[in-house]
Amino acid sequence: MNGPFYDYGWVGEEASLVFALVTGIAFGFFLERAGLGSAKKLSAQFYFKDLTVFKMMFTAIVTAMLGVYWLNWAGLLHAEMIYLTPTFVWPQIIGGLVFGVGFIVGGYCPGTSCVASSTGSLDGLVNVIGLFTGILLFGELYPFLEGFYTASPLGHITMVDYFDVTPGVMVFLIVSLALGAFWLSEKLETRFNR
Amino acid sequence: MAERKKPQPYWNPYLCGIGLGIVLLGAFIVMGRGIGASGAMTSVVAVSVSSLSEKHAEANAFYAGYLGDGNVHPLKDWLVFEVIGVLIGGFLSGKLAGRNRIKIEKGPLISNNNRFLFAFVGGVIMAFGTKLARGCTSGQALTGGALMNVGSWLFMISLFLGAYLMAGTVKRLWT
Amino acid sequence: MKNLSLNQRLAAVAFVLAFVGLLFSFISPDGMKSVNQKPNYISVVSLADRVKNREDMQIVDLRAKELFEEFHIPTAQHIPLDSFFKKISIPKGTLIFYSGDDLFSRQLWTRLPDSLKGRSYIVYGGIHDWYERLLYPELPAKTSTQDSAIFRSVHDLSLFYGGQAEFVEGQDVLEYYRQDLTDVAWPKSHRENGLVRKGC
Repeated sequence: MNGPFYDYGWVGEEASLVFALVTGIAFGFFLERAGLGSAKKLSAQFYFKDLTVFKMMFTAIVTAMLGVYWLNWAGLLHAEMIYLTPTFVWPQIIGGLVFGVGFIVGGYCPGTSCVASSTGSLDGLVNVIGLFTGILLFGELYPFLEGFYTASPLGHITMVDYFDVTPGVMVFLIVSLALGAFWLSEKLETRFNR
Repeated sequence: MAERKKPQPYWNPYLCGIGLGIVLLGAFIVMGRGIGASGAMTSVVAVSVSSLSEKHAEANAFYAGYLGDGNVHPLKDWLVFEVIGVLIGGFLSGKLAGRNRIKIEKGPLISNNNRFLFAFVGGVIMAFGTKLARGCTSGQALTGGALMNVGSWLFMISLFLGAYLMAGTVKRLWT
Repeated sequence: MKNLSLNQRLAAVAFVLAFVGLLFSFISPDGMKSVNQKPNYISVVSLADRVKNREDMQIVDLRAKELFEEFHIPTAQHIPLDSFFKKISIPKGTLIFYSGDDLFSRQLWTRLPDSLKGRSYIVYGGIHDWYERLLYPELPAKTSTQDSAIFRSVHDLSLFYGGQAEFVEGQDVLEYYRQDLTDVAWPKSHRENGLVRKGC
C-alpha cells in the first residue's frame, strides 16, 4: 500500500472531501495556535520583532520535505505523482512582490485572514472582502492580463530538475539553510526587541 | 454571566510548524496534492459571477477554469471544503485558548476606520498577487516549498522581498 | 543531548535526517532496492505489432470487469488485480500486463515475484496510451525522411485496429514514439472525472 492513495484509486471522491475538511481543520488549528490569526503578529515579522511567520512556515516546509524525501526513498510514497503547480517565472516573481505589498498593507494572507475572521477579527473579515473584490477585479481584467499571466512558462519543474542534482543534496541544502535562518531569527528577535 | 477565559499564550512556533508540516505531508500521502486557500476564494467568486450572468462567466477564460465542465458543482471542490475546515479549525483553537472575541487588530497610531480601509486595499492588492502567482502562502509557499517547486520558491522569495521593502512605508499602520 | 533546549533538539533531529538523507542519496539513489525497481516496459506500438503478428504471449487486463467488457486490447484475457495473486496457476510464457492508467500495473509490479518478472512486461501507458497514441494518434502533417518509418508504422497500425489518425502541425508529436523505454519514469496518471481540481 503506497501513496498517494487517491491517485491509486483507494480514496473515493466523497471521502476525499471529508479528508479535505479534516485537513483544513488541522491547518486552521495550527495557524491559530501559533498566533498567525493576529495581524499584529504577522506584520511584526517585517519589522524583525517577531519572526513567528518565518519560523512556522519554514518548519512546516522542512518537515513535509523531509517526510516526502524519506517516504519516497522507502517506496511508501511516489513523490513524482504529487501535483506540482506549473512554473511561470515572471508572473510568479511579480505576483510575489505584489502579494508581499498586499500582505504588509492588509496584515494577512488568504489563509490567515480566514483564521482571523473565524476568531472574531473584524479587520480580518474586511481583508477577506478585499480579497474577493480583488479576485473579481482580476477576473474582469483578465482578457488584458492574460498575456502576462501566461508568460515565461517552465512547466512542472522542481529545483532538483532545474539544477540537475540528486534530491538528497537539495534537501540537505534547504534544511541547513533553514536551520541557519532559524538561529539568525532568534538573534534578530532579541536584538530588535531590546 | 459566563466567565471569560483568559487568553492563553501561543504555542512554540516550531512545534506548530511541525504539526502543520505533518498535516501537509498527510495531504501529499492521501491526496497526492497540497493545501491552499486562494483557489477556494476564486471558486466562490466564479460561482457568484456565474449566478449573476452565466454567459459572462463562461466567456471569461479565468472564471471558466474554476467552473468546471458542468458535471460537478464547482463548490464541491477539495479546496472549498478545506477552507471551510480552516475556518472551523481556527475557531476551535481560538475558543480553546480563549482568544475568540470581536476585535480589530491594528497599530496604536491609526484609527479603526483607517485600519479597515487598509485591510480592504491590502486584500485587493494581495488578490492580484495571488492570482498572478497562481497561489498564496499555503498553496505556493508551503506546498510548493516542500516539493521544491521552482515557481513556488521564486514566489516565496519575492513575497518576503516585497513585504520587507514595503514595510518602511507602512510603518505607521503597525507601530 | 541533555543540556539542549527543545528547539535545539528539534534542530539536531532535522539536521541528522537531512544529513543521512544526503548520504543515502549517494549510497542508494534509487531508494530501497526491492521497492523502486523499474519494470520492463513495452510500448503500445510494439505491442500492437506483436498482436498483429500473432506472437506467442499472454496479455492480461488488470481492470474491473465492466471496463474490460467495454473495451480491451484484442486477445487480452481478464484477470483483475486482486484475483491475480490468488490464482493457483499463472499463464505460461511471456506475460504482458496493462491497466487503465498504469496504477494497477504499478501495484502489480511491486508485488510480482522475481521469477515472474523475468518474463513479464508492463504496457507503458496502458489503455490510455492505446487510445491516445495508437488508435487515435496525433501525427504530423509533414514528416521528414528519418521519421517516416515511425510515422508509417503508427499510421498503419492505427488503421489496422480500426482507428484513425489526426494530423497536426509540428513535429514534436513523434517524441513519444521515439522515447527509450528502458530509462523512462512511470507516466503521469490521469484520473478523469474526479472532483479534485488540482490547482491551489
